[in-house]
Amino acid sequence: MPLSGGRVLLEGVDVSRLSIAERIDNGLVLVPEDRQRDGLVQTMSVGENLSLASIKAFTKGLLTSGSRERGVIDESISSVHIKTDGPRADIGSLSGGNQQKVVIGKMLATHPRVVLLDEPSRGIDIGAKAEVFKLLAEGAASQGLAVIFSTSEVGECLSIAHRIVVMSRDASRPSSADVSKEQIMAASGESVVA
Amino acid sequence: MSNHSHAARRQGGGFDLGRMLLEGRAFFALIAIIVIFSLLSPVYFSTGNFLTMSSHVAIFGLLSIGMLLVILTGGIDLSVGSTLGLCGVVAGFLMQGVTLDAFGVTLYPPVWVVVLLTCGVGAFIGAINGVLIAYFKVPAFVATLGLLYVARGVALLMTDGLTYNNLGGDPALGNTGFDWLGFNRLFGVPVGVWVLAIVAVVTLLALARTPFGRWVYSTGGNARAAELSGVPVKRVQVSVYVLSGICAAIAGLVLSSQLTSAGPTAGTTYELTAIAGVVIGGAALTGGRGGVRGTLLGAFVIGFLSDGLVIIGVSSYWQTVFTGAVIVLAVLLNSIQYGGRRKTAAQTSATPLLPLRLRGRPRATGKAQPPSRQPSIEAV
Repeated sequence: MPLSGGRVLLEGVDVSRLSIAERIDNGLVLVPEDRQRDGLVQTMSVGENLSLASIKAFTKGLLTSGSRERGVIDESISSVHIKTDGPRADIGSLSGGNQQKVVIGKMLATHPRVVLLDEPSRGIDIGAKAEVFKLLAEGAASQGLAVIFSTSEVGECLSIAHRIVVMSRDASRPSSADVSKEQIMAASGESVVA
Repeated sequence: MSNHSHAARRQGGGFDLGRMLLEGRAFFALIAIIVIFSLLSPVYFSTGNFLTMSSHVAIFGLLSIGMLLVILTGGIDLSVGSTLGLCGVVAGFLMQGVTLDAFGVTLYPPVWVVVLLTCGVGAFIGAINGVLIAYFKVPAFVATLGLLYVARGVALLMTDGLTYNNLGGDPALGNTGFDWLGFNRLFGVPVGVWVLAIVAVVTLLALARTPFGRWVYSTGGNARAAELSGVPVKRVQVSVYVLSGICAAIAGLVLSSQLTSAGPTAGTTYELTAIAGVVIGGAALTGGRGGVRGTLLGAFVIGFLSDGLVIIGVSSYWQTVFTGAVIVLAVLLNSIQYGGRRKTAAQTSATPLLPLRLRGRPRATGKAQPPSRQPSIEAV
């Protein structure tokens, strides 16, 4: 989608006109909505997927370092609790929730300041959903990570968000976290049925 | 990373003869070819013949390695045969001396300058391919098909359809040495084979141990995901076509040196041989899977097969049939090897995902999603 206007400042740096690689360098990462289409490289192993966004971290001169890469991968697997046979396993062998954790772990491995998640709970089971949010909350608390996520499930944002912005018809309405479901629905312009 | 053919073995666990034969198929095919032709012809199994065949393989091998890089990113380069021809002609043209009318002088560049300029021409053609494909979104098949015609046409125009026969240079002009590439031997091995070996080792290293290699595999595996992970996908695409063009230029130099002549029709249909080598070597045409070792084996399979058929006196029509059958068989085996896993890696959310744990939600596919996108407060 082309840029229509405006700026996005992250610690004084306008990130709206940077390339994706530069945005990652500046600490802004995205966990896309459709992990099969935009998140995972299906031909690569779990480990290669996890290290894809942070190749620079284990490159010395021209060559990548295998041992340093393993360090990055092992750290990711343990920090986001991925259940896998090992870094060399096929990415297709993981469950949906673990695949989602690979996408999140890949982006967290770049040590971001702000992580954007687009519908992060989509298509994963309830246990994994809770775990994903717990991980992000821990990351936010321990590393000062800012988490912005979009969701279409009102209950989800009411239960975990500190701040809620309802975006509807070219307008956004911020509110605090202690709003009710009905207020959100009203803000989005939808009539409350139930 | 370095070995994608191990991918399936990781899953299988135990020793499996069928699996092993399938994964090592290019290697076993090469062994079978050598054994069969050695039985059929007494001259086939000799060092001399292997070296001769290897210098033929060098041409296909160089093209195949360039092609491998392109195919790994999910593209295809149909222009390499024509690029080979054009680069041979450019080298031949430069060896004849370049007359600058404005200054009234004729320049005779030394051979290393000829080699560099020729590689530059190959890189330039590759760059046009790459920019058309990456930035103008022209399908790779169409863009490189166009360049196939353009490069061939330019080669014919440059020579008016004729062939440069005098590539030897003149000691008085200081531009001798062009024959060295095709004729001389280092430690008994033709220089062309050494060139292939060097290009292969550098490519192997680049794919296995550099960020560029990782970018190439991820671009072919899933370009969107790669881009969102910070991979400079467009630059990678341009680079692989440039490298493919350079490989074709090197092949053109070696071939015209071997033939001691540079003709504008050299390398016609070689792009298909190069693709065949890559495919026989186990690379997936959809991108993301394949390697240098397999591709080299594939080039040797094609080269040793066609030379063997010549040696035992099979008509060239039958050679074409055999080559075609081998290629179809190779693609068939590739789809058996990758077919099972391709489905788990479904690109479209409409295809059900196979390895789903049936917990919580019945299905994590797109079909389960549309209801949740509605503002249905009953659900929450």
